[in-house]
Amino acid sequence: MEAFSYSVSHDLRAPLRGIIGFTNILEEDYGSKLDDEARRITSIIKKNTSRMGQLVDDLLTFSRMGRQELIKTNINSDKLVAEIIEEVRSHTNESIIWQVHPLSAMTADLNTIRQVWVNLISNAVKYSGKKENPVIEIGSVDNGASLTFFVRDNGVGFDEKYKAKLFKVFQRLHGTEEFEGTGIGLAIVDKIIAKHGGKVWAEASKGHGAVFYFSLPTEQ
Amino acid sequence: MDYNAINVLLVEDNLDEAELAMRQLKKNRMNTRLLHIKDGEEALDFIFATGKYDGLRDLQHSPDLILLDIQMPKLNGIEVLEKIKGDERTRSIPVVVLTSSNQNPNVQRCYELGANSYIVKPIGIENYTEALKRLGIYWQILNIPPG
Repeated sequence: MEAFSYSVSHDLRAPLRGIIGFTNILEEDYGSKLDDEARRITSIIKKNTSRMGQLVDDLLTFSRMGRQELIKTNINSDKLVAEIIEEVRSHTNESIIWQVHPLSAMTADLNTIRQVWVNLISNAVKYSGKKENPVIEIGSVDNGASLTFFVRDNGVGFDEKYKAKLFKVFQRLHGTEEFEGTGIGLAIVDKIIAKHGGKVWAEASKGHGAVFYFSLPTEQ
Repeated sequence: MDYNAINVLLVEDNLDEAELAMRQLKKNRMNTRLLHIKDGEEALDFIFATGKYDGLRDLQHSPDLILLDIQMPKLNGIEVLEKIKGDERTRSIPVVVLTSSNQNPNVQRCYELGANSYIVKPIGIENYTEALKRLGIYWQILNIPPG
């Protein structure tokens, strides 16, 4: 399966490079013969091709995540989340208020759980990016049988009517013009948590923010 | 063509990719003498002056740089790399491996075989032309070639 993903990635990316590369040559070598409309069109060709490249990459990441064997270790959630926030902070605006509560440790696969946190936290950042005072809250609840973690933001939220689509591949509840993305982040989260035997779910209020939960069964 | 005066050997089976790469490499340095070979077997013939290149070049005058695509039909890039780096007459030629995917499980293998560098061809052409430009600047200008 690894070989399949690799060859798909290779085979699909090469023609995409060709489209973008030769469109550029058109612009460079025939620039004087292209009017504004022609340039607008070549720009659209390139933009769509780049997007396809992103979709291919995301699909491959998604497929890889599902196939990897889990290596479960004890994870210090506080430390992991702090590291991720530190990295996220280095390329976001400083006006985000982070409310991070003490988090329960967990037994899980470090690499994929890290991906879950990264995706949820970067979503929180992205969708609260238009607010003047973005607030992101992270916490956990241990109720014995399972551990639940949450990431809450006060961003644009989503319409609960379309909730069923939230964790599906390439499904989005916002337009690309409003927020960039391919709609793979939550599908990846869903897949990873399902592999761990856990659950993901979310609640939101349109215009007021959202909270995303994931739970993991407590290891005996 | 003087096969003893080649600066850069590009081994790439995809003609469109090769055209894009050559265009960019030539742009960076006007006096680059670049040879494009389409498959691994012929590349080895050129490098070792065998087959159709027998008698046409002299192993003393190696290219300054070999850009080697991994995925090629018949003989793939890894096998070519192995032959180049496995022979003391040619193993000091800098070889930059170019691949289409960062999912390549061969990264480690390439370095073990002695590849000098491993580059993933990005999709965004600005990135690719930028990568080639930097490759050109590094390997052709900054880096001191072997004696």
